[in-house]
Amino acid sequence: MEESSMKREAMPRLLDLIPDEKEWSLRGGAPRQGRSKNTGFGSDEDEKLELKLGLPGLVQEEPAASSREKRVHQESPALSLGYPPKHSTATTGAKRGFLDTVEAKAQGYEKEQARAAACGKELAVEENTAAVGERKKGCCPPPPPAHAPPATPARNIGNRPQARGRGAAAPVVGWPPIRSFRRNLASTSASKQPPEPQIGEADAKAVLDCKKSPLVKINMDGIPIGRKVDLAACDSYERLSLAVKDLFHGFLQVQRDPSKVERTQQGADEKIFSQLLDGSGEYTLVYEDGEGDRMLVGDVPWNVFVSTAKRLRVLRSSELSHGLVSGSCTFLLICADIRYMFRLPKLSHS
Amino acid sequence: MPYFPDEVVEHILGFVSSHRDRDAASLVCHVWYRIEGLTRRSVFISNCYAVRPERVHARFPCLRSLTVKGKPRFADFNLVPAGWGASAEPWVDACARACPGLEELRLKRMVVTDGCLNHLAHSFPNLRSLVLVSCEGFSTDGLATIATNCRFLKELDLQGSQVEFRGRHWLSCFPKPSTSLESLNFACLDGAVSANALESLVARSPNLKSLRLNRAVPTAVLAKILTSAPKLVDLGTGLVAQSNNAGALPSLYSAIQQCTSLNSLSGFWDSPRWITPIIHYICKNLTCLNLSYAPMFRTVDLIGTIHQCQNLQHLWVLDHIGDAGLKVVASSCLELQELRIFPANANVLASTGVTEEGLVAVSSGCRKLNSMLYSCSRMTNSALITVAKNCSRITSFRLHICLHGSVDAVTGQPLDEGFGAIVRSCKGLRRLSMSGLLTDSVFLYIGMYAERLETLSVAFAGDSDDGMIYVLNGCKNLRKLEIRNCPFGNTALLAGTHRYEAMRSLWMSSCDITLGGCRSLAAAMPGLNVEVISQADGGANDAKKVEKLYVYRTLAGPRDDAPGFVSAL
Repeated sequence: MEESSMKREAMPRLLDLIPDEKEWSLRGGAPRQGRSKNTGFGSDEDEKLELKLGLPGLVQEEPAASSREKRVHQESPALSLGYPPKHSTATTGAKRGFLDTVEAKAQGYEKEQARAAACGKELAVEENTAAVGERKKGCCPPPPPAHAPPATPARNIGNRPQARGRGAAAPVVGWPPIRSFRRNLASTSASKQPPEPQIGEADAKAVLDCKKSPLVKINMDGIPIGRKVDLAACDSYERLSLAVKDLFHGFLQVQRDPSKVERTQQGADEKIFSQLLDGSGEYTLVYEDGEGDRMLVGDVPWNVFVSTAKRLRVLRSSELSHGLVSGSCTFLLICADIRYMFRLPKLSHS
Repeated sequence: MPYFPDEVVEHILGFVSSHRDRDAASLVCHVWYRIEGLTRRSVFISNCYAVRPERVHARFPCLRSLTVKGKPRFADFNLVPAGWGASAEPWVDACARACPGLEELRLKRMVVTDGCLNHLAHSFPNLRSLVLVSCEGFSTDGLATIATNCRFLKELDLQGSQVEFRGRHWLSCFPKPSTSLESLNFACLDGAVSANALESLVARSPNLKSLRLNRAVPTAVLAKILTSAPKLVDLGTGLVAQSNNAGALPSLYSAIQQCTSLNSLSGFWDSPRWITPIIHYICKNLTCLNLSYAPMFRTVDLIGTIHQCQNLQHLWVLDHIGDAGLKVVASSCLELQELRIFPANANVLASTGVTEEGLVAVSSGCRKLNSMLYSCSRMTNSALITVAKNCSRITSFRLHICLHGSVDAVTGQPLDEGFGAIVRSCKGLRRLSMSGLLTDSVFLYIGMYAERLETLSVAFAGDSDDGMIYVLNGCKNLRKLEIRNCPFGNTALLAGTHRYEAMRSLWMSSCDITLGGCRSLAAAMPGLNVEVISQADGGANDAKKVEKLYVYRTLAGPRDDAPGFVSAL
């Protein structure tokens, strides 16, 4: 330790990554105040190419609001680098210090991350664009990097997990670097079906928003064409049952007797559709939820059902019991749930 | 010096197969140079304009396998105008004259016409393997001539190429009654495929191990193919979905259960989500899984599948996998060596499902990772530092943050420290591609620590010429430097004057270099081709900004096939 610090003094241009705390106190510097220099990323002013850099988490103008901030401050001393030679002893000493600091930073980072996630994502495009736009204007003189993020307090930085950098988001040729083959795939699939919202805490709100007017597909056994039903337009299971009847009774009539549309059949249809929900009739209504599992309609409160149902199915009650028992390969249903049929393991394990 | 027979040297060198080792051996002395040249079977030309084909054949008269690369890599991202060059014709011509016994030809990013394929087909009766990666200029007619004439063809791989569709007949042109095909990849082909021809081809190819179909191949055909080729090792499916043929899916399920050797799976295209359970049948054996062409699969589907793939070594997915999915990868796929996450949406402002959390999770779980391509919308220095600490074996690290110039999402700082940690920690790093807000200091770190770095891709980074100078002075093993939209000017360009001959190539586009600087470089180094690509007509005065510059070392002198917009200085 002492040896390497002596070497350091002899050669001011030595590579000196984050020293560990022992070395830090040996230097007799003032680490507790936080020696984040941030004097400049460019090295024009110093022809010896000595560079002093602050580590992430250190922004000079931040008020040391929380003690956590201070801790990160203290454990991340300034970085000074000299350009060309680096000595192995100093390197190994510095390396150890470097890795030690990673732990401290990781802890600080985790807490930041929790805060950032809780605050949600906000874009501060204008602030950043303006600040960094200035920066881009001059290649030299070196910009003041400590001031590059706008002078906002620490909390706001947590609020900008997607803080934008240089330049506005004008379309640029060839960026992001995706090959044209892939780009074409992405655009064709996007036009076919809008992507479903991702699973993630920040996106949970978006998921709920999308459910405002759900049009879910509904298929019926024996009828090759499916329909779509607006769950929001029905406000109860009974209404849903009526809606299902409206959608399919025409098909049933046509199937039974294409030559005539008999009022006499209507009575039978009424009977079918009114017993959809209690399992006693010829048909039963089931739905598929977000995980792809098939569930009987009617168990959960209506609003929960609306938010979780992804598609509906009207099954013959006789087939329902068959499907539960056997794993046969016959396809009775259109768009069958393969996993269900072949008893493959469920999707979610953990 | 006792006599050391040439035959012994020749015998010993016969065991040396790596290009670099052979290059080193050829530098020992004239005798070794000659012997090595006479015995080299496989030649790799990384830049088709660096040397004339005739010279290659003169030095290596016994070559059997030729690999040639053409356009600069940024051509993939539409930065190189059409018609730039890299035609395969001169290479095929020269090879046909000098080496008709050619067995393998691999071309990457070159223009291959039907005429060229025709010439190929008729000149190389022994051709075993034809691989065209990201090539263009040919059609299915060209494929038909290859299939017809190369009777011993074992491998036909069209990975990523653009093929003009002129008919479905090419599949029926393969030899009858049986072919020697072991590997067939036409996944990139647009256009329909004749089901009968394909089924019959697979049925008469007993050695077929690797088959990658295009999206036009329906489920029923896939089921039949798998039934007749249960020994397949690598499969790229077509579009697997419900079809009019109600029996297709069940037969596919039963067929895939018979494929016990299958360890690599790709394709799926726009297959619907509910098809993912099909993968569960072969999960246990899977080592390579490429779901990056399947935009319909959602996090939940991917998690359920990947959770079971305990032996996975290579995983390519879209960012739909999300951080949640990556955490599952980290806990289940402990053998993972290569991970590639592609953005599902090319819009720079879109937020992706993956963030720095996923990256950190994968790095802590999958300690054998050596190659990473990660597309995300946000990143932090801490995450990169953690990754560097966890995966110090990384040899290829490519991070693409959608919006160029993005800062650390938590602290608002540039991402210098993160990338600095990566180059510091990963001693074997050979390939690095960076994004986000980066200043000159990241280049300083790279120059200081990235000793093994061979390829560096930089976009929207740096503050001044110093950045590029650090890299040129520091990275002794640098071969390819690709720069776009960085504020590097003539000083930086000329600082590397004596470096470029040791490198394969330099690409600079949308930087601050002028024609004058390029002219100075060209004048100083006659062994380099300094080519300026400019679309606009303008004055040719020295102060004019150069939009695109491509510099490469060459023994062949200036190009004679350069189009009008390419000016050699």
